[in-house]
Amino acid sequence: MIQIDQLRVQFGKFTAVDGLSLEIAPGQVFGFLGPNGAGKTTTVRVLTGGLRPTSGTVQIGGHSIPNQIDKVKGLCGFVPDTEDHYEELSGRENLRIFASLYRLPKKRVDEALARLELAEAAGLAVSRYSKGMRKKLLIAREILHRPKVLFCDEPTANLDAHSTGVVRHLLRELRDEGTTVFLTTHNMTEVEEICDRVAILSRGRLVDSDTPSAFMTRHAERKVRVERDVDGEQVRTLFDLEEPESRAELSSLIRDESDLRVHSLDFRFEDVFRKLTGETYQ
Amino acid sequence: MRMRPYIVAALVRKDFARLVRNGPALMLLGMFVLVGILVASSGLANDTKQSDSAESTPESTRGASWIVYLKNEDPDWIRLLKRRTPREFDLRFVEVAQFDADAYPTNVCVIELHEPRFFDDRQQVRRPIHYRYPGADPEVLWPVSRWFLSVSLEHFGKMGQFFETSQPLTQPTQANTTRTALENVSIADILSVTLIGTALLTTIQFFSACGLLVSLTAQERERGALRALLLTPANYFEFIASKAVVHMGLALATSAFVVAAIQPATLGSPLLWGTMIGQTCGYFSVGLLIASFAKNQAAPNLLTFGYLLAIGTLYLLAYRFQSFQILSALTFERYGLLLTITSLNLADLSLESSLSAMRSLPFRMLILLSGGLFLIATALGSSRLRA
Repeated sequence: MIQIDQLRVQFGKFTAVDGLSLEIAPGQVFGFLGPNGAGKTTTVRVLTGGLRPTSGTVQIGGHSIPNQIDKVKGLCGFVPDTEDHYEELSGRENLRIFASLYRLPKKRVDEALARLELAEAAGLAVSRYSKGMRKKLLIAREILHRPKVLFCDEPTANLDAHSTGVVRHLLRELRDEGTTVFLTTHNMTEVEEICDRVAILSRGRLVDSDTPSAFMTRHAERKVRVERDVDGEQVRTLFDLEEPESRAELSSLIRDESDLRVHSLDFRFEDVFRKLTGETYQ
Repeated sequence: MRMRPYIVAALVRKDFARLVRNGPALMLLGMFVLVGILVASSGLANDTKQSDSAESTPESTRGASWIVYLKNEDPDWIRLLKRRTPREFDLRFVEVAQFDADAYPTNVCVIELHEPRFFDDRQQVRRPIHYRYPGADPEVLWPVSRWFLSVSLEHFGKMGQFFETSQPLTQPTQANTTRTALENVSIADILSVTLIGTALLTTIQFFSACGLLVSLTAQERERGALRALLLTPANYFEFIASKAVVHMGLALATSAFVVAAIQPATLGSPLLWGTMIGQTCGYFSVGLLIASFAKNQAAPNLLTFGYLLAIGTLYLLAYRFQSFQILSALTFERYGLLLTITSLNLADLSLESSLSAMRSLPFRMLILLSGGLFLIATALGSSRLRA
């Protein structure tokens, strides 16, 4: 559905994206991760036709970007990380503007509002919406025309637990309906929960791309923490089970000591991210 | 460049909905119309007063009018004036060797056609036209002066070449032909209904087609709504077209209300509508340029204010310096203002004369400059607004 080949974007001497190549199949939630300044937003801007690449090619649905952007416009939706509504208009009016630009029937507006649980507030001016409601309205607007590709930048930021659940459920539903969801997020739990594939970007370069479970298998670190009392004081030691020496040391400790407490440490996707980018996520 | 009517219509509905919720802007436009109505009602009061005085001293207001000219005056002009004299006018053409104010009866309106002269203060040649009127009210000149200006426009094909002064006949004649324009002008003399009307129309057109456009577009741009719109099938040119429909439409509709209030007879004048469309198009283009260069809401407001100041300063300097005159001749406002006041003045201009005036140099310059500015603004804005 999306093909990126040797994409390079430069702003003067600064290289924002450096030789990025990706192929994203239709009907999957694709997580696009990276620390701040890694080049995620720049890539999305290129994909949505907002920025001309310095070199490389980008195709969506077989159409080249930005040369054939008019053919791609109807195929894509873009949920930005900032609100861009007409605040003085109601939620329903905002959606109707976009629906009429796509020549959609009015019932699509009500369907989208209901899907995001905004039907009750549809008549209110957006200026009276909470941050979470505004975010949901953005998503409702971008799914009106049932896009083949939906770019989402932090779709669950500022949402409460319930609304987060609603949005994640919606993204899964869209995937099941055949939509490719290109998700940019810093929420690693979300990545583990809904992404089918993930690409990690660092300083403009692709670090790795795989399924979340494959990432976990390949990069997981099995560690245990042992607690014991030594001369009345509690001592904690960390053992890496991937290391033979560490395993042998733990084995002898278990054999010799009678009063031990052993805790296995969970390895999360966040740790994979840290390990691969060498940075903490923000 | 694709232009799909359904997309333009959707964008127009969006802008209209935003406009309807913009209380302060609507209130301001309503206030301009109200001022027009109040001015018009004051004008009617003056007319009533004029009628009353006409009944008491009919010869002072309805006596003969004289057109006095020198022997070497342009014969074609005089012939046309004679040919175009309405039947209801008691008009006499008087050829003289030199002007002598003491020779006129005290109950006539006089239009003296002086020889073209070089005016030091404006650095250009103009033809002095000196009006003399009976009594104290210069309004009695209006019927004959309007007719005179319309026929002269037909003859010369351009305006702005006259240096008009007026003086009551009863006062001693001390016309000093070398007086500067400011010395000749008093606010009471120049503050006519049509002048106020011109000011109102220009303000409305500037506010609706430029100020409001800049403010609303900058808001869309700052919020990111413009980017969201351009990610839909709508393209930049459809976006511009919708803005033109809404903002120019608003300017023209509000202007029509003001014209209907102050000078209803000119509502059907092609010259007036052509001028208003040309001037509104010019202001729309200025607004588009400002909106495309400013990325947030504060900057465009400053730029709009700066534009007003710059144009005002340019015209002030143009009174004194030749180079600034050339610059001011390249602004559409120069022709727009002149044509607006002229078309408001010429209430009884025939359709033929009105269409003929649209072939004049000032009208052509207005259309050329406004149209050119529109093309530049659209081309520049297409790349900048998308960024």
